[in-house]
Parts: sequence; structure tokens; C-alpha cells
Amino acid sequence: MQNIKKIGWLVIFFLLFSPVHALPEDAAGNQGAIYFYNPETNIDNFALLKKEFDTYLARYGDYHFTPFSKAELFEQAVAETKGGLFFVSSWHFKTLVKTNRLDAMLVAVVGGAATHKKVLTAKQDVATIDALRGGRVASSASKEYTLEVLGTMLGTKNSEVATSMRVLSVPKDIDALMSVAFGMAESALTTHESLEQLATLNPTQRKRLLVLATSDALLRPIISVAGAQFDQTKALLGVFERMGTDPQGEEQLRMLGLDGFRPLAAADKQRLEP
Amino acid sequence: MIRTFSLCWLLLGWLLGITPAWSAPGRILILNSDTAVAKYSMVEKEFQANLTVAFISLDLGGETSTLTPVQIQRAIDDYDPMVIYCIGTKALALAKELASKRKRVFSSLVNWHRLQMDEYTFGIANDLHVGMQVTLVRYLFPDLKRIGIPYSKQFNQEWVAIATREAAQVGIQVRGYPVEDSGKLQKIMGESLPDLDAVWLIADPVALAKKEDVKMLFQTAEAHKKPVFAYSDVFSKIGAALVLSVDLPTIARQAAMLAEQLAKGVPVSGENVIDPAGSHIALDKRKIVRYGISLNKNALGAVNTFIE
Repeated sequence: MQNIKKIGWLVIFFLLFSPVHALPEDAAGNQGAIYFYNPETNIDNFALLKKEFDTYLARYGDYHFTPFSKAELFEQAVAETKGGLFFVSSWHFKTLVKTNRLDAMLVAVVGGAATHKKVLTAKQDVATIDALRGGRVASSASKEYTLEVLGTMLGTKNSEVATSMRVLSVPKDIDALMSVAFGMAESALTTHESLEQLATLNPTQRKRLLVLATSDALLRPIISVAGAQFDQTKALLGVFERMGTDPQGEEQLRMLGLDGFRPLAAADKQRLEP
Repeated sequence: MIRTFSLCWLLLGWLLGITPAWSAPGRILILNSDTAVAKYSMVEKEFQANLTVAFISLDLGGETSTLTPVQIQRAIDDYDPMVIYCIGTKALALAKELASKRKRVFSSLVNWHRLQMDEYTFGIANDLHVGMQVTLVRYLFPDLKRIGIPYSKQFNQEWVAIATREAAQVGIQVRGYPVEDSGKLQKIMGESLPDLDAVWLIADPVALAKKEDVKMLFQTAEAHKKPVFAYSDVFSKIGAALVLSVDLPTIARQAAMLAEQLAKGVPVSGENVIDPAGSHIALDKRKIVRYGISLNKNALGAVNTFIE
């Protein structure tokens, strides 16, 4: 009897104080997830994005859209999650693949084009890049992304100017361009498309701006998978591939400044190489 | 023995980096009118996150503050900041009173134009540049042609003149409607609505003096299926189709940049008060669709919130 009691207490002790092992990750639960983070834009309407995308995806199955506001948390999800899709900036993808198994499956397009260019604009009276030394550059992208792209665009000759610039983070490209037009910043880093949009909206303001530098063609965001693809993940990829052809789907994509997806071509994959 | 003991403590203090305030470069003192106000708290948090220099923060605590002016004065004198960042009117007024010769950067003031500016006062305005506003309206609504603005000549005659000029650059005609009494708001605007594509409410203490009069205007606009644009979220609850306001985190980042620049002794070129660089857009998409107004779908990415 005494021995039974001792064994009983040992069992209770074991259950209470033994290390709690994390349950094996339920990979099945993540198959229908798409995780999103894009340092190239300053998206802060996460609740709205999630609601709109979840509503759209619910038409096709048990899918859910999870946007991230912080790179660290997104990178943790990439490292630890099994299954699901990762909707990621092509710039960020090149860093993520160094430590994670990620396969790029679809690339975002706008008007059929999978690439775009960044432009650095300033007021017409700014004669040289050097005049921007120490000045404010308005950008809707993250500080890290902005400085890296600027460094590449301005080259080694102007590297000191690039590193001296102070990044003013603003919500959207049109805010960045108007910041220059109305004196809140000395320059702006935006997409070329946004500058063309300003020309349509406010030709007077556009004429006051000068393009000082243009980037090479940059690949738009991509949708990737980590490791093995489960059936539900493959089906979700199909939903995104067809999204641009569905009026409601297209409307959701326009919230991200996109209008469709397509599989990567060989030239696209080359752009993802380090 | 005692002298040796004291010297040991001084040495320990030095090793721990407890150095006199005057040796730390670029100190900023944050004065928050009331951290219990969500907007003030948000702005302070973002301001701090964007600083690379030392700072301390004091909460003036609104009506329930226990900090006396003497205590605040002592804190300012002891810390000896290069710049005082003032969130809200109360903070700025106190900073000016207690530290008139120290540089001050303000944000979150309702109407900075009423301030008596001096060489020590800098800040970020609380209203979007009118050119930015009309460009955003055009961005969202490509076919909009005529917007009516009720206003009082006393407070907003110049603003409406500027808005008219800026709006013309984006192909929008602004029609200003002088209002001497908010009781006449509905009649004046109601008669004009058939000729307008939208009504734009601006911050005007005369034209929008009474809530009931403003509500009646919204009801009249709804009956005519004309959208009302506004400058504050409070109007989204009574029927605004579009609210264009400032992005608070961007204001905080601008304030941090300006405060650091001043703290490091770098001169500021241009105006002492800068317009906000970031916009916040709230849109009632269902109302826009119901009114049959053309909405630029490419601009949806610029919308922060859908009003429901």
C-alpha cells in the first residue's frame, strides 16, 4: 500500500513538474494560411486588409490571411510554420532564402508587368544629388529598404549622400510625393507608377518635381511556399493565381496596389538570385 | 575613512555612467499635456521610438495632474534639455511660460495659427495642406467636378480662397458658401446641393457651431445622394462618406526629426511650422457605391479604414 502511494505521488510529481513538450505543430492547420509582410509599403490598415481578404478567401475554402507589421515576427513564422503560403517582398525573399527553404511560386503583376522601378524625386531647383545631403527623403517603404535601394540607385560615387539622408516614413507613395511638393521633405523615393499617377492627378505639382535617379527593374512581391506543399496549400495558390480575373478579387488586390499574379518566368527567377 | 568611502561612491557612479546632465549631448524633454488622451499617448510613443538622443518625459496629466509648475521648472532646470517637445496646447503654454528661451517643438495643437510665434517655437501643424487634400479627393473620385464648402468669413475666408486655387489645379471647382449662423447651414447648402457633387466640411466654429444643425445638413445631403467629406472621425458616425485627416504616427516622426535637428544645433531652413506629411483616409465605400459616384479602385490601397 505504501509503495502504491509512493508511486502515485511520483506520477503526480512527474505530471506537474516534468518539462512540457510543445505539441507537434499542427501542420494541417496552417495549410490554408497565407502570411503577408511587405517592407516596401507602409501598410497599417491590417484589420481592414485581413477582413477583406478573409471574406474573399472564404468563398473558396477554409483559408485565412495573416498580415504582419514586424519583420521579426514574420521571419519567425517563415522559420517555424509548416504549410501555408508566404506573400513576401522580392527584396525580403532574397534575405529569407539564405536561412529558410522557400520556393517562389507566383509573382504579382500590375498591367501584366512583374517588375517596376523606383524613382528619387526632388523639387526642380535641386540641381545635384549632393544638394540632398542630410536632407529628408519621404518614403512609404521601411527605413532599411529605403536606404538600401537609395544606396544602389545613387552608386558608390554618391554613397555618402545616400547614407546621410534622413528617412521620413509616410503612409503612402502619394504622401511622399506631396511631401516634396509642399515642403515637408527634400526628396521622395516612390515607384515610377506613383509619379505618373501624380502627373494625371495634379499636373502642376508634377511639373515642379524632377527625377534625380531611377532604379533598375525590381521584381514585385511574390507568393512562396516553405518546404512541402499540402493539397490545401496548392489549392490556395490556385485561388491567388486566378484572383486577378475575378472582379472582387481584383478589388482586394488593388488594396495592395496590385492587379494579379502569374507563375514566375525564368527572367523573374534570375532576379531573385543573390 | 568617510572621505575614502565617498570617493568610492563617486568612482562607482562614474563607472555606471551617472554623469552630469550637461555632458550628455542632444537632450530632449517631452511634455505631454495628458497621456490619458489616446492621441497624445500614441504620438509620444512614436516620437520616442524615433529618437536617437537622450530624453525624459513628463505627464502633465490633464485636470488630475499632481505636478506643480515649480516641480516642472525644477525638472527642466536639472535636465537642461536642448529642446522641449510639447504635445498639446497645455504643454506648449507651460513650456513657454517656464522656459521661454529654450527651443520648443509642438504637435497636436488644434489651431496653431492663433499662437504667438517666436524664434524658439517650432512645430508640426495638425491639418493637412489643402493642396494635399484636394489631390487626395481627386485621387479617389476621378469624376468629381464641384464641391461646396460652408464657411464663415471671419475664420476661413483665406483658407477657402487657397482651396479654390489649389482645387483648380486638379480640375475641381470649389464653391464657398458664407454662413453667419449654423442655423442657416441646411437652407444654404440644401438649395445648392443639386448643383454640387459633394459637400466639404472644414473646421469652422461658426458654420458648424451646433451639432443639430450639422446633423440636419447630413440628412439633407443623404436625401440628395450627395457625399459629405469631413476633416475628423467624429463625422463618420453621423454620415461622412470620406474623412481626410492627418496620420498621427507620421506627425510624431516629423516632430522627432525636427527636435533632434534642433537639439544637435543644425539650423532649420524654411518655415518653423511644417505641414503634416502623412494622410489618413476613412471611406464609406457602400455609400459611395449607393450614390453612384465613380471611385478609383486603384486608390483603394490608400484607404486606411472603411467606415461602416
